Amino acid sequence: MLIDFVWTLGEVFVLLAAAFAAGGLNAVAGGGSFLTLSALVAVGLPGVVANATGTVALLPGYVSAAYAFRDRVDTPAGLSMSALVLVSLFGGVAGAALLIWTPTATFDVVIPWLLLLATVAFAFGPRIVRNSRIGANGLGATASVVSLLLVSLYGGYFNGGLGIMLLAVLALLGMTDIHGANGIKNLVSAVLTGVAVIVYAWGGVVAWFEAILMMVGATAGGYIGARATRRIDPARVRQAVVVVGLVLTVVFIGRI
Amino acid sequence: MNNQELMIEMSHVDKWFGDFHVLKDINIDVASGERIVICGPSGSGKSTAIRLVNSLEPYDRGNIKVDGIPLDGSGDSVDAIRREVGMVFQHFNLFPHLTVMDNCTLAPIWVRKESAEAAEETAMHFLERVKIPEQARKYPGQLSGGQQQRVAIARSLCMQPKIMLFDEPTSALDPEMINEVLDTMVQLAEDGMTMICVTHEMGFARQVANRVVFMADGEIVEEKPPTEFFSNPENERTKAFLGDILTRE
Repeated sequence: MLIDFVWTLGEVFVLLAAAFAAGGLNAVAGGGSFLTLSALVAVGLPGVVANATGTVALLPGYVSAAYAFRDRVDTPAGLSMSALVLVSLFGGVAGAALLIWTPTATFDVVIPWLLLLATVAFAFGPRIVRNSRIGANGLGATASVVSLLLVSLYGGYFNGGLGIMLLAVLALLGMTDIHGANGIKNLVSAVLTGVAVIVYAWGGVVAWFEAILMMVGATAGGYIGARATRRIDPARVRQAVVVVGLVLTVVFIGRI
Repeated sequence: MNNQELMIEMSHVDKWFGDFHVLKDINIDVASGERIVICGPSGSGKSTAIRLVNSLEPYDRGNIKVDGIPLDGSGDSVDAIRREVGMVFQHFNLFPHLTVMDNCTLAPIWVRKESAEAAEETAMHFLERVKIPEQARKYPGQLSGGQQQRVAIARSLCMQPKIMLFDEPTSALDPEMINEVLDTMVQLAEDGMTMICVTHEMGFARQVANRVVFMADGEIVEEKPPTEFFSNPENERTKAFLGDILTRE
């Protein structure tokens, strides 16, 4: 029927547009998953599936960023590269498994608070990154493992604001070289998201048609976004993301 | 009543909600392949009457038999009857976190112990029958109300019921979606399904019902074949109801 066809076309357009913007946003400042999650929920996917599917859509962006920064990876104090990867893997799997086990009704209640947490990370993360005064030795291996594990767990569960949270944690762990920290952020994001996607797929919570559609949109957006970075002030974009995050938090509270 | 096998026998059924006498001496027999439409003002007890048939509500007095199985409130009789009876609700009642396909295969796999492959094949067959096979991978939230109701019908059919109960299946739908659901129900009736439909769609009643039952205040007020029911209602309450609903149509 015509009405169904128009509806489907509208849905495809919304998802492509949101994914394009999300890919661009992630290339400049992060926060893309706010858009993918919201668009997928808006077209009628249940929260858990929307969250997992949005993460799948943004995976190529994480992987390509990790690849681009592969020569600039530094590890925080007391942590070897293999330990870092292991911690990300474990956290990603655990977070993703937790998502699969969360009933949709419960997740709908949790979403706004996760959005708020991610928004707060966006608002204050950069300040933490700039002002961290911890010495070069950081807080030591245990603190590194525990904090990265927690962030990886969060990343496997929700993903929103993961990048900025990782940068803030790495700054608190004493990483002063922003390029090295960026390299780790990209590596950890790619590893934990990659493994989380495998768990989501195994758990049957990915809407593959929507995921692939959005992957195409996000990859195109990421390409354009990466080229535009030089002309855009990431701080401005981040402020916009904070506003979007707050608006979405309110919208999602309204849905409970 | 003809000599066909009786699928539903309700005799002298009474039910109370607390002090409220919601069903009063209800007698309805439905033969195999018969289509009954129940109508009446809201609060007349028509939904409660069909909810008794698959034991969604207990009854207090009288007897109900479904396909020869007495509904005595025991777990065995409830299980046996629910295997024979499919039900479609006003608000679809689909699982929002499962795809259309998973909604359709859940009960066949877990209750009827069908293999996933067989259940999917059956589900696809019925989704084609309700004309939405292309929506199989989607979630209920992605579908229109009419599509969701057709999924609900397909899901019921996947359990291969002998009887289908419809509880105001179109009253939560936008007007432009009502016909797509009614068409599905007409097709089901033409295929010989035994059906009880609580509905105010009088066009549907005219087209497919063998009998129309009019209820008010928990009682069956009038029961006739549709041509007679619409052309020659006897009771004043039936006349008033028809006058009201037909002018709205």
